[in-house]
Amino acid sequence: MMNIKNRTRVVIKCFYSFIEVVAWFGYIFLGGIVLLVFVDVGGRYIFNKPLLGAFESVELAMNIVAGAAVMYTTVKRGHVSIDILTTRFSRHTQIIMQSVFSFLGFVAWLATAYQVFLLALSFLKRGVITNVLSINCAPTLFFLATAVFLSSLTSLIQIFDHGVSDVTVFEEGGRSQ
Amino acid sequence: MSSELIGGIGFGIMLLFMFLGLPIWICMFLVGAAGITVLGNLHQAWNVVATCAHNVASDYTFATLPVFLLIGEFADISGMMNESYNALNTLVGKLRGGLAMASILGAGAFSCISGSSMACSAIMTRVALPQLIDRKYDPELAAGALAAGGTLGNLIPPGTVLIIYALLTDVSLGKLFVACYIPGFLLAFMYLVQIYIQCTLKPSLGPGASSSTWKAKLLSTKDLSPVLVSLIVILGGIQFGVFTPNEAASVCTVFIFIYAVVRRTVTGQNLLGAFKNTLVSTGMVFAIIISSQIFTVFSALSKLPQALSVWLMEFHLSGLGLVILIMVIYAILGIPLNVISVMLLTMPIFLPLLVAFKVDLLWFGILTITQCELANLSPPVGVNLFIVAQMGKPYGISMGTVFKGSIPFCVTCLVFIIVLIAFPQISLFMVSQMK
Repeated sequence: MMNIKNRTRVVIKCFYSFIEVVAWFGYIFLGGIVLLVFVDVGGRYIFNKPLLGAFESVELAMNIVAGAAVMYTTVKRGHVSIDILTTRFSRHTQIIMQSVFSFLGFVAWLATAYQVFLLALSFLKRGVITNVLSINCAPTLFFLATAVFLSSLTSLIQIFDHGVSDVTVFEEGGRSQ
Repeated sequence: MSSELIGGIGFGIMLLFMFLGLPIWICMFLVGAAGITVLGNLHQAWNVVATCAHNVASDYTFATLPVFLLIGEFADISGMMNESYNALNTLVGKLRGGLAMASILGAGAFSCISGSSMACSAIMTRVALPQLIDRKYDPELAAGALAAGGTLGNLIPPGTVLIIYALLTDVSLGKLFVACYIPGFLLAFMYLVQIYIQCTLKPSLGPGASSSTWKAKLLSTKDLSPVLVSLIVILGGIQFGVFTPNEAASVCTVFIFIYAVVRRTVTGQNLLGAFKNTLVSTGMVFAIIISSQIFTVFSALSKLPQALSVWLMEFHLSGLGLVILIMVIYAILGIPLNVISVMLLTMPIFLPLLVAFKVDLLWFGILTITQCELANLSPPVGVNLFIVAQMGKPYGISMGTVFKGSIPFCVTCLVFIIVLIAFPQISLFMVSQMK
């Protein structure tokens, strides 16, 4: 029994490490978007030569940023909810409710991941490409589907791991909403 | 069962789930998808889910959001907010209530580069509260001013809620940004006047500091330059058609990042923290925008907005009457709900009504955001109040103190909303001058 528990812990630890790796794609592509647009603006006004396909590249990169973002938000339990009533319930009730909510989150993410995956598959089959640079649109959609699937797995874990006190939504550094 | 009734039931179930504490995006997602299945079919619902996720994720306008959030993070890292606050303090600190005024102006300055009320309140409280308490400012006035400063976070562009509103309503984000500047600065000015009046009537509330020399004042403006440059790039760039909002955001991000690097305030840890925080906020907004769009499709299928529209027309309600009615509803909803929830919850229903009544969506957007910001400032559940109370604990500031201190600012904000309703030109003037 103890062995299973330890193994589960190791698996979950590995899963969260993998999530961190996937989140790095989000950081890199977000930084990339900023630089891409900056270079495009510089090229347009200084060299009179805008970056070819900057617009569509940003749109493609956003699939990766958005995917990594939802996944990371789910891990950090950063989704907005109204807690004016729930705080009045007993701790036991709150734990049960959190588990139910996590299950519903799992269902919603799983459905979204599957549908986005099907869409990506259809993009791949039809060979949908961008207008200017002719980049295949499917890979970034596959990334989005994968990230959303990881969100659903996170929600699945959170059904059993409902503790919220040990999670810090905001890291050291700046602050956002 | 009629489709309108199904729409009404769906709306009620969503509200119930929300108040039970289910994350907002899940409420809208599940009710929306289930509603589309009932009114259409399962295949249609799945199609909507995939299309909404893809459309939102690859929307160029949506890319503006993380980039503007990143600016706020970098601005915080660079320490420019502390310097701006000190500079403003040098400029207006001599006046009665000057330090509280500097807090409002500092919040306004931070709002020019960041789009979050909560971040604005939190950062200004961290920067200004120790000085306000040190200078024997009345804790109620201090706490009220810091919470009120936060309301400028979303009203002065770039505001997160402005971006969400633009995405929900298809209003031009550039126009919305430009339209918000005058109302945002006007609200800041009204807060300043209110503080001045309060401190004139009761000088013990906010004693004036010793006067600074003109040389010190002139030198202090140097510290405001990063904020001013950002303001010029964003406002000037968009107003004169030089940049799109996304381009202005990217240029500003690079500029502030270089500023932080030059000042040696960037470390690997805080840089990673900045990206992580940006990702968390982006993911939260992304999830609720997707689910809101799914719910919008359900709402349209149910024909509930059209039925409401017909019903309201029977009362011979004008566009202005409708706007006032919606503002009253927002005031009520704003008590238990937060800014984004109110907008997401109501927009699928109200947007078709507003279009039918030919209400200017730019003007309405500014009104909505102000009304929602008022909700952030109003006791008993205003988010800004909680932030100030939480951070003010070590200084002996209780929740009651923050509540009392916020009331005069709530009144000012309410007067401001009435002024905006009475004079739509305040919101629309800048847009009419846009190139």
